Amino acid sequence: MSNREINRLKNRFSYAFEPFAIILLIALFILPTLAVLNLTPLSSKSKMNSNVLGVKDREEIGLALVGGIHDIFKTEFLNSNTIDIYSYNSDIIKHSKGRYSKPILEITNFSSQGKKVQISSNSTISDNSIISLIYNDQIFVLQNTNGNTFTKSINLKEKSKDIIYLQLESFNNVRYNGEISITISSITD
Amino acid sequence: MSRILKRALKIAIFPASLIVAGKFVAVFTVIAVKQLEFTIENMTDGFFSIQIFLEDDPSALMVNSYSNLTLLLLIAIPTYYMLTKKILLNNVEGNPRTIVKLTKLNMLKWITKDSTAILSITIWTIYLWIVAGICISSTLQYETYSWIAVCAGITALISSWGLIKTYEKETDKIYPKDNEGYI
Repeated sequence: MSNREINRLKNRFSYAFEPFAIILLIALFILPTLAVLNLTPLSSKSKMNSNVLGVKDREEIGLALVGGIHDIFKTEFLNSNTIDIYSYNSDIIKHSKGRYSKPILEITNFSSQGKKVQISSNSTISDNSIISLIYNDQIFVLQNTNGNTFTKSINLKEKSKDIIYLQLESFNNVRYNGEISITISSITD
Repeated sequence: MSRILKRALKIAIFPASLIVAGKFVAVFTVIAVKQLEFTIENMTDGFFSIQIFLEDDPSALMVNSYSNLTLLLLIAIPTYYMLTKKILLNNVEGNPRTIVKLTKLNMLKWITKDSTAILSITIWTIYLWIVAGICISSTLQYETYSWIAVCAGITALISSWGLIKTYEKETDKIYPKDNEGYI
């Protein structure tokens, strides 16, 4: 085979490989992205799944963070180490006096029966502030202006899904950042 | 195969490997430094089969944030280095003041040789967009601190502006503007 023919074949093959090279180039952009997403660590509670055989009426309650951006309530977390006991944490940024509220949690009762949940809180903000939750247009005061905390219970309707709001009313300017922790647990009768 | 495609492939391999290796090293460095407990498990559902698990949400947030920040810096620093070099080189042509400044700063080497191709800058900038996208989407899922997403967004925007400026300068060399480049 002459050199000329070899070159001609070489050229033809190189053109045939061009689409594959383009795919390879695209893969060089996509594969690292997927690898990075795969290397993103998750918390252990994410691995809890409901892959079980059979169908059964679920008895538990479910809570999910509403999220979103707020000037006062930042860095929200929702943890659950045991079924039906949840812990919500948020930073409270220094703020001027006034009333602030934010939708924080979506609460779901998976059960076909009504449920009762108990809510208690703990906060480092105690300067003449009232911390309360709003559920179904009802206000549940968790901490009063003296810093006293209260445990409240909420009745959830069967198969219901509602939003819980956190409300903070400060009567003075708060010049330091604080934290709030709310524990929500289901009560079995 | 066209020469530009061959070059693009050659250039893209390094940042692609850097992203994967950088994330891997950063994740395990943060875990080791903070002495966090972790497990690697097989998932039966979802897109990925192997997943790293940390004990709680704040640990996962911290590890993700610092590893994403490392990733951003690993890609942003070479991109900005190339962009700065190219922009300086383009500015030097009609601006003796820049030459004087660079001489004072002992950075004359940067403008003596045009070793940075626009293709390299383009590919690195695309990787920077990808990393910025990862940081922003991770922040929206509460897996990264929001300030990292803001930094990533700003970094990606500035590099895009730099890429456009460089591209404009390069096209001006081929198609000079009116009254410029013609005798």
